[in-house]
Amino acid sequence: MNPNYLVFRDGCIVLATLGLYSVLYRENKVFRFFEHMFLGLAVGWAVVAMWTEVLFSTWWVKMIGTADKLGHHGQPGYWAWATLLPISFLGYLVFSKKYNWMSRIPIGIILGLWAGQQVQVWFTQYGPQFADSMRPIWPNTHEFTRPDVTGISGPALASIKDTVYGSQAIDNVIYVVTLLCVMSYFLFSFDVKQKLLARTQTTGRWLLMIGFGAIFGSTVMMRFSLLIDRMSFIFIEFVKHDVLRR
Amino acid sequence: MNGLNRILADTVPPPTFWNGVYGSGGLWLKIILAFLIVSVALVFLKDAGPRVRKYVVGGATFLAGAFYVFFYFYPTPLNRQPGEMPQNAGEAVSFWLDDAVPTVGQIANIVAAFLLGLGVYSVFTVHVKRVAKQSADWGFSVVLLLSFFLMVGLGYADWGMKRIAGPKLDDPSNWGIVNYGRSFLFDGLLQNMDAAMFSIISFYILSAAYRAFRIRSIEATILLGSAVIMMIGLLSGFEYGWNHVAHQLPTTGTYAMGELTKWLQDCFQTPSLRAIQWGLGIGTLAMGLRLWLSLEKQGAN
Amino acid sequence: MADAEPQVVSTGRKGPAIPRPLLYLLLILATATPLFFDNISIPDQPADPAVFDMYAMLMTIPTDRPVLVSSEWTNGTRAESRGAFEALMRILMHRNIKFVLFSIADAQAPPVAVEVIRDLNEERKKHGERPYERWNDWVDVGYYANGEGTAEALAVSVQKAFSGKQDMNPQGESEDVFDSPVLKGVSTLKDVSAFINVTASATDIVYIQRLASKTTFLEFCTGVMGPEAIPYYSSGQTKGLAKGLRSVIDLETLMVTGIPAGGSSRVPAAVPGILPASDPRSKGRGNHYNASLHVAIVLMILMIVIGNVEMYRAKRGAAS
Repeated sequence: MNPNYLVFRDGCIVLATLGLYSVLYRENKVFRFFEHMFLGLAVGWAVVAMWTEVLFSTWWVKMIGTADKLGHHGQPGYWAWATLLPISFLGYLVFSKKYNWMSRIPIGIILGLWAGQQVQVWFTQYGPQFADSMRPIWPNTHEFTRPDVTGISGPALASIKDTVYGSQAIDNVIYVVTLLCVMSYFLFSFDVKQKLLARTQTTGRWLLMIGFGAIFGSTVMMRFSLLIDRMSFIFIEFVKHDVLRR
Repeated sequence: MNGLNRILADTVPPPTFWNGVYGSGGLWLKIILAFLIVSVALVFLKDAGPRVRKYVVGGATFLAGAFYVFFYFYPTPLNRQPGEMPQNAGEAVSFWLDDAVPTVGQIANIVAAFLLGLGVYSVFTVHVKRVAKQSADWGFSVVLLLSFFLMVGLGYADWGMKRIAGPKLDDPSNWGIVNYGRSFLFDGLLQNMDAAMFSIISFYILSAAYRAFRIRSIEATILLGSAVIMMIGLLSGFEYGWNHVAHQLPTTGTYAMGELTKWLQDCFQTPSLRAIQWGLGIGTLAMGLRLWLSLEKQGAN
Repeated sequence: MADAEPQVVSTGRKGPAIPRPLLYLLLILATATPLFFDNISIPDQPADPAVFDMYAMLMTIPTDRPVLVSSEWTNGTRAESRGAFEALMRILMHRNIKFVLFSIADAQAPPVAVEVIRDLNEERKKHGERPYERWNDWVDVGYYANGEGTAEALAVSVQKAFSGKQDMNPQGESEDVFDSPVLKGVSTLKDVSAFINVTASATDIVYIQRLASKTTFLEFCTGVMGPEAIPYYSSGQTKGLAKGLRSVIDLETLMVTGIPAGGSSRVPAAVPGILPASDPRSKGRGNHYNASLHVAIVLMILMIVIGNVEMYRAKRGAAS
């Protein structure tokens, strides 16, 4: 790629980045300028991708077919695909006051397809998780800790994996108790008056906080990594490589 | 059923009622007729009464969902070979369902792609009206529309050129102004502004953590403790140093950082998140059933 | 926006001692400064079994069948996702595994992934390695607007799900992708060696629900999605999982050191590395950002501690 083009392009990117960062100080016209530019580009790309990535090959080529080429037979076109065009365009009647009910037809088709899949996907998604949650809470050996498996393979490894050690049994008890307590927290359909259930709900709420803390920690890593990437672009890719040519 | 099976199987079939030769007048006539017939039917439908509307919308939703429900419950063909013909009516239905799933998926893709244009249309009309009426800050709407048209124009032009020139344009040394323009707008501006927008959140996270993350209750303490342990576990250098110390300790077990975070993850984090997911899953299934059976109040009114 | 943010008072009468602009400046310094000291290498000792399994699976899946790569990320999550995608591509290219690229989440995703492949090819040429050719080694089948329907179709028949899709052959002609060496003879998921999802959104759930039981499903996700993805790894629905920047760093380390026998729960034998430590490619994007990540997270923890100390002092001041 032309190096002058790269310097110009990267310079514009840095300008846009700093313009967007200006919102950290306060809302201002520079930020709004770049915000609107971003939105325009994103919406424009959606229009391009809608045809080039999806509709051209999935709908248009299927409908009109393809021509014979050297060494290859062309595909015939199937006219039935044309019926999808008026049905899909019903969706745009959502902007009409009188006929907006018709927009629910294509939306209903999409929602219906999704809803119909839920019967199957619920079992395939959660079935293995139910199975994994059925964990043994009683040890089947007198040994407390699991031996190190590094370098062990074959029947010896299989035997170690099948054995429930004391420490594992304790971990499994903690697992099951945590699972049940957190599930009990989500019983909102009735008033919980019984003391034991109220206590398990409170415990469930505390245990839930551990999961949320983990999510927070991961989120921090992810967001900071985005910022590090931007700083790398500005200072290393643009200033160091493009401008200073180091 | 044979003709439909052919459509759904998508092989190279002989000419039938359902297809036509590429570029032939017969095919185009069928395409135009199909479009017109469905359009006319929909025009007649537009003045339907409330009761008919309810059944039309509900019916479309139910039939769409019923396909996948039927597909899930009907026996699937075992070890079906390419080109194998069904031996009886029952197997024919299972073959048809098997062949229909990809086609239904394509129908969903096509309808969803057309519906993507709704958002585009909405943004477009709002900003065009602002420019036409010269409302407050209409200058920004001009910027938006200019960016929009530039991206659409250069995007389609670049795509068209690549379809004609082929892999030659994979090499930037063969690019012209159109290709550079599209690269500038998409790879340059759009992608990097996207990254910049997402990265702004990190500033707010730091600010919020400093101002609001307080040990005021048991729950907040547990949350904070778990978050700090997780964040420390992400530091490979700290973990390396910790493990170096841990392995010097005369203990039968190991207190390596990875073992501790794994223990927290397996015993506390996984079950609590799993419990949340199960609750959400039951809610999603219930919502799915309600949508499929049009039990939601907004369904067809 | 920023100046509408309320002044949060911890307790008592005073507000926070560190003003917001200074916090932001500290964060910028924390993230930017370590980038200039690229020669400083922070040691890494991978320990996450999910990453071990990911690397082991990628290094042991059959090479005679292609891999489906669902690339769902854009530059909005470039920091984590690009590093993950680069590591994945390096391993596939090293093993000469053909792959099919597509997306169900974002129309911007396929061209972003193609750009990474182009950059990696430039890198391969510089190191005297054969560039990965479009059509012969990989194909791009583009974006699918309805993810659920596409995943359902893939579960039944890969051939029908991708039917009608065309890509450019080396002669510059558009041809059906099933005529390419990548997808020739591929009919169902049994004919692919793995299904890999590089994602920044909930597409992993879409695939787990519909096809993870029919193939080897591997997932690269962002840090935000990591905790929610762990239950699926734990239950075996996901055979390997890399979550966020730390996993990318670990993966880059494993690409040099390999895994000893018994290190992975899915592959008992030892798994070799693919890059010598002296190769500049062994320090990928993850390792480049590692120092900055350390400083930023330490800053975060420090600010939380300072905030709580301020609250405690304000409480004591109010009490006295």
